[in-house]
Amino acid sequence: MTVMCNLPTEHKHNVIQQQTKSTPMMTAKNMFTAMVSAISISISANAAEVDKAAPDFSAKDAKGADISLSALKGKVVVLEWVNHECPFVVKHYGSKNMQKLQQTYTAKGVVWITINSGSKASGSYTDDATFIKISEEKGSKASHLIGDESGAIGKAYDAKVTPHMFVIDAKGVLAYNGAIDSKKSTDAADLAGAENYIAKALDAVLADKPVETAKTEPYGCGVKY
Amino acid sequence: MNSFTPSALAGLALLPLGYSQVAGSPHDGNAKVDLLIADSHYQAGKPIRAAVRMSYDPGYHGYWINPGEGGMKTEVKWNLPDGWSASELSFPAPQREVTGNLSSYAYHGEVLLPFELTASADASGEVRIVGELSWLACNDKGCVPGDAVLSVTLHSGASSTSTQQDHKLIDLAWSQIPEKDPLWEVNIDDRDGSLHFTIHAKSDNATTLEGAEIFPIDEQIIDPSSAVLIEIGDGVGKNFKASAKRSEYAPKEITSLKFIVKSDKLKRPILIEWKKK
Repeated sequence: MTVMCNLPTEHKHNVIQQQTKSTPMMTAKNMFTAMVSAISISISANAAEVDKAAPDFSAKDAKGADISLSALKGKVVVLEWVNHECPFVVKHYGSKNMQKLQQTYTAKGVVWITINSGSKASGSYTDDATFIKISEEKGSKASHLIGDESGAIGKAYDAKVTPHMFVIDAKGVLAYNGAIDSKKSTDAADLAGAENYIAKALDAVLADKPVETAKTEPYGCGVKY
Repeated sequence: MNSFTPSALAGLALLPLGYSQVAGSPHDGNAKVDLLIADSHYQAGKPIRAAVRMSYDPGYHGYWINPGEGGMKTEVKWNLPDGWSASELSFPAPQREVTGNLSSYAYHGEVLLPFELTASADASGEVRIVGELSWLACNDKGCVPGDAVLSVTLHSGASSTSTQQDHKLIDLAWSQIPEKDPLWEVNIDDRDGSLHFTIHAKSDNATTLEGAEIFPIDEQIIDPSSAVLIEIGDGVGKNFKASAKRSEYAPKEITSLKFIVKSDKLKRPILIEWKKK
């Protein structure tokens, strides 16, 4: 899977071009090789800022479909960072809380993208087939699954933990960045009493209203880049 | 009624720490946990010192009252007889722990979290104290939640010597808990994205705080990604200073901060509750 970050021109950031070694006199072949191997990576620390354009990305989902955030303009998008080994994620999937949210909001036209940014070395990595299988077993209703083992999308958003949730409005502006709810625990019994940040953010965005609580500290297990 | 000879009583004191009365050490969530009690006998209306003892498996760490990034603090839900109460768990100073991209306030190895049980005014007979402890232990590969039931049966009456060793451990645990010290005056200036601490000792004989570390008890005020170390400050007398990056989740105006100062030059960590004037 290749990931290319196509960065909006109005967005301020530093871009690193990774190139093959070049001598002052480059042959046409060398230049071609250098261009093909160039990867743009955003190193802006605050790339995913609420009320600013959400970092664009293009990737293949686990079923091989091309997904591009800019192509989803006109739709409300959720990004959900996952690691099914993490007890905080287990709380939300084991209780069916996450699947219900996915079902409710995809039914309202939201595009729900579940992302695993675990690196191959980390142990929380899943290849595409495994990611699909686990998601099906758990009854995921996500629109797309993306295996982001290079961590490019995760780092563009500064996804820190699993679950870490982002909501992008139909204009491509980041409307929510943070925790799924207000109770930092691994106990499903705590779901009922928690403030449901993601649902509230989505309800607001879908009703074209401002999101009251747009940024919260996400809780969970560290994303294993 | 049986009477015990002194040598028999001495034998009881050497038994492994009242395990016959305390439920055995559950091992889950990569930690061994048990409940220590300073006295297996209570007096109505009086407090009994106790502690939750946790021993994290090698390579794993658990979390402080403010876990920092990721993690989860250890909590206990008590099931007590009517009229009995339990204080909150107390936490000794943590250390900063960086795992991958996350910085947290953590414990390694063994840690004791002392607390107090208070018997009801009309307590009598045998009572059972039960608590559900929940915690999180993590290493660089992942996190494992822990749940354990802790219980102890207490009897009314005069102090029992059978828990002498636990008593000593619990006293030692309490001596490590951060405590307020009126010797120190603190001011915090919030500017340029950082909190600037100035700490003044009211006596020139005060222990130096140079090299000491600040840990915030309140969450989401200070960014845990860098250590907050104290340096010698400016001006006449014993002054110290430190600066801490603001958490990106901190409110616009910070009007109070509860934090501790940890140093091996101090007998115990200092607890400071700063409020904006």
